[in-house]
Amino acid sequence: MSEAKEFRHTEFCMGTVFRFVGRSDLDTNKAIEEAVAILHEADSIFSLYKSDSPLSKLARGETSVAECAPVVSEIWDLCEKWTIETEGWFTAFTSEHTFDPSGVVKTWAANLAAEKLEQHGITDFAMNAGGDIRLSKEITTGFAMRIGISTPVTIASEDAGVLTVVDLNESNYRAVATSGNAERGVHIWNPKTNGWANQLAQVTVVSEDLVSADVWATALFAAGDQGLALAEKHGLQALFVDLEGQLYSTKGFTELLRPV
Amino acid sequence: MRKSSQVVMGAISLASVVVGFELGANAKTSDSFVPHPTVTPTVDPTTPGPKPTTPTPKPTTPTPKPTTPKPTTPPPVATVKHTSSPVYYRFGTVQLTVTKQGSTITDITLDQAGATNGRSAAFNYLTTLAMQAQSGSFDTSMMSGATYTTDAFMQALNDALSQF
Repeated sequence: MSEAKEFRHTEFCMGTVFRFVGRSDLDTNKAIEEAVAILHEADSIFSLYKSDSPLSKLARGETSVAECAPVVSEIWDLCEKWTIETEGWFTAFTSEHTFDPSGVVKTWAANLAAEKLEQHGITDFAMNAGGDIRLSKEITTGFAMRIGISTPVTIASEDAGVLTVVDLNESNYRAVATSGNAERGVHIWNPKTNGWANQLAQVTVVSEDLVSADVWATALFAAGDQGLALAEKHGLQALFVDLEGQLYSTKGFTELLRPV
Repeated sequence: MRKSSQVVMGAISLASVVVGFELGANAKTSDSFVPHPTVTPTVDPTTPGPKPTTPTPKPTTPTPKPTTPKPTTPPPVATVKHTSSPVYYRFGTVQLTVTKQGSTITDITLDQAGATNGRSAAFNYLTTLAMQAQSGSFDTSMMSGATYTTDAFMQALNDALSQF
């Protein structure tokens, strides 16, 4: 095997940052170009910040799912699947009954982007999709398998920093996602109470799959004080931080924790 | 807006950590993803090269005089500054200037770090982080958690670095 070179790429998309860090002996430029094109394509279809996107038109009732690109229908079905899977704790419908799948689209597209790199034979990398992490399936670099988890405070706070580290070496987990109110303010909807979720500070979920980690982090956050029981019922591994800063985690998650 | 909650330490240490952001394309390849500091190998350019000190026999053939020893050292590493475009984001504006000596970042100054609700303090924190090229126990690009402020800072930093 020829000498593997480190590569790093940062892409701004969907109002956040996507970062790729890895090693490969291949030329990674073309693969990364194709991977980030997937992100921008998803953004152009699903952004509700772009008034002429298909999703914005859908939200205004100017078009129907049937008239949109097939991928819109695919995401619609995916959201419905996750609503059932999470016992209704995840929803892609806003309080105004408009379809807002942004809770799924970011990690869904990021996962496709990561798969694109893997299809190009780039097997050793980690991707940070705006705070949600996905490792390549055949990652070998142990160092990149240690993921930092932010403290559940705004980065401007004196307490901003690293809460803990999860070590995915010797595990099958390849994804870490965190949901919380620290930076974006209160923004996660509790579909059961029809109000904003406000019982927890932060939830982190590890999973084999990025979308699953992301959706469950959101659902468990919405579930608040029922989150831990819900996680255990579904065999998930999750870390909860409550409003007093107390930490709770499932047993499997505790075993992954390492000192910072 | 929710009041920042103190994290109570249980089994988990909340020690403040020394971490560093990855600083781009010039980072040396290493055995891990640790962003090693890029040290530009320089020899002090003021050190004079070897000069013949003993008188040499007078040249009988016209050879080039050894008065100007060929430089064996690379030229002095230039210090270059570049300023990012202002990055507007949800809580304010950030604009910064990066100073590089060779491939090493020697300074980051904040030209604008406006942010509401005291968030501007974040930028000093991030500047310190970005200056530290050596990571702690994990790669700091792989932090899980949502961070608008970090994103704006990284965007400005990336913009400035792209101008070098």
